[in-house]
Amino acid sequence: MKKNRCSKILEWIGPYADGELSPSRSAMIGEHLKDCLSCRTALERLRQTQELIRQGFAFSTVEEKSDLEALHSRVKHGIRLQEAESKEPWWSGDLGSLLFRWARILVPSAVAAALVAGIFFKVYNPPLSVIKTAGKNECIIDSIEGANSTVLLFKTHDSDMTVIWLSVDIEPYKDASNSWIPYSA
Amino acid sequence: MSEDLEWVRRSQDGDQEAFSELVRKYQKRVYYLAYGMTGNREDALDIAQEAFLKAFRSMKGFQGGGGFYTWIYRITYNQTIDFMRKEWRKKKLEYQDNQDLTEKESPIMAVPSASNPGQDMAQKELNRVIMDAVQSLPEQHRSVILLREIEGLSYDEIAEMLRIRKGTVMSRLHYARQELQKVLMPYIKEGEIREKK
Amino acid sequence: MDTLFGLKKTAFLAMVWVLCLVAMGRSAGAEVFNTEVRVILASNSDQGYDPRLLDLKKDLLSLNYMSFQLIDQTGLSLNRGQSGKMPIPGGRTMELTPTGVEQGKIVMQVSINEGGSSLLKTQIRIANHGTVIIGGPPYQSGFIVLAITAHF
Repeated sequence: MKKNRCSKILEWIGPYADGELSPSRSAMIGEHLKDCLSCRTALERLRQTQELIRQGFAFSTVEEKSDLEALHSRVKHGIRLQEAESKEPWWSGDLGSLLFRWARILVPSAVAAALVAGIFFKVYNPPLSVIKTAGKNECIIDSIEGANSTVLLFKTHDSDMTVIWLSVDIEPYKDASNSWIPYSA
Repeated sequence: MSEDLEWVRRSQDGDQEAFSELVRKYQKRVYYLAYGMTGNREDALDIAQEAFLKAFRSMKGFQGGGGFYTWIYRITYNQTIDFMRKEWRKKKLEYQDNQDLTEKESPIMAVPSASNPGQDMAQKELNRVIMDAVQSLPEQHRSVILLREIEGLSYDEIAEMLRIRKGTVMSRLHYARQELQKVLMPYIKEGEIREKK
Repeated sequence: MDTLFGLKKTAFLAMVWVLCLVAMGRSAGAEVFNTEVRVILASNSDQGYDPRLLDLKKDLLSLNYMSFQLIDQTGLSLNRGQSGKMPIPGGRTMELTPTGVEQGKIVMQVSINEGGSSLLKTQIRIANHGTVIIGGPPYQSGFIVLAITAHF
């Protein structure tokens, strides 16, 4: 009888955690949870799953900041181009808008060229020169391999010093797939 | 919300600065939605950019009924689906296969400021498991879980955005969470649950 | 005077040539590579920052450990292609092999072994007098960090 009731409760446990139930139903589930360990366990698992998903999407601040800055300026630039396109028919431009139109052709061409270059780089680049930093501590990593470890490559903030960090034993996240992650540029 | 309306009104009159404010306010959430759907930062940037440009082009037709954010989410979502269905995407994936790490995360990064490499590595490993799990969900379930867990939309808002019934939102969410929980079970701390007995 | 000056000029040019040749020969055919390996223990203990590591302070502190202690320092003079081995705390060994100079940078193979297995094997090119950091093997309550500096 209790098992039957629990299976009903479990159907509502998600909306309960999300605060999407009517106050009366929510109160009823709250009452049940007080006395039922297995439903409480299910709720706690759900909450931890939710928390893990959110964590998984949390970039490092550096990455997020640079991506969002890039996005903002790309949108702004795109809008300017769109506006110029809608206001200026191609035959009515003065020298300025002519140059602007050139930019419009050149920018996408450059982007296309960069993409092609990028693809060729990716496909044909041998597994060399994975990392390159500049300055006094300039360092190029030609190849890197190993077993039973995961490697992170960093550069330090001030002097761009390259850091090769290997994790021999990652707890508590160690699993079978945590063997070797090959780097190939 | 009322500031949204003001910015929307001014954007409709062609005020680029007002639109820029809307971009600033919603870019993070738009970007995360695209990133969650594609699992790729570069693709997410492209999609988010195109979504905002499309919104700007269609600004005059926007009625303002469901709020700007629902509207921009819908545009982003549709943009993402279009993007994912394009043939070239598959080709691109072929040569990404062996370089997940280099494509999704730059192989070299600045040392994070709040953690040491050991913690950072463990977190990155976990993030990869989570991202892979989300990516392995069917498209319909992935979108619902992202809109709920990452964007924090209510069931009604998700239903409106995806143009599905609220009951469908609930069942998709239920399924997606179950699937994710299976994969993430090793990372769920049972000890904490037992302590709360 | 002119002749004398001419002679001086010729002698000067010859000297410059010799110096250039010596310099070129030195960079292209450097045979001896001096490497310095500092073995550091990074941990969150309260020992603080070892003053002997001042030149690396900014770099090491950005790794976000609270304490950095120099536990060993070894200088290795290695010929081209010659391998130098040194023990690392925790029963591991590190092997360094400089293999030459390429565009002014020292090409070096670095491997870290534990028991019979290789934890890391990498080939790097570092600037003359440049430093690279390799870290991660756990030791005591922290991690071993190796700062490798090389010059020819």
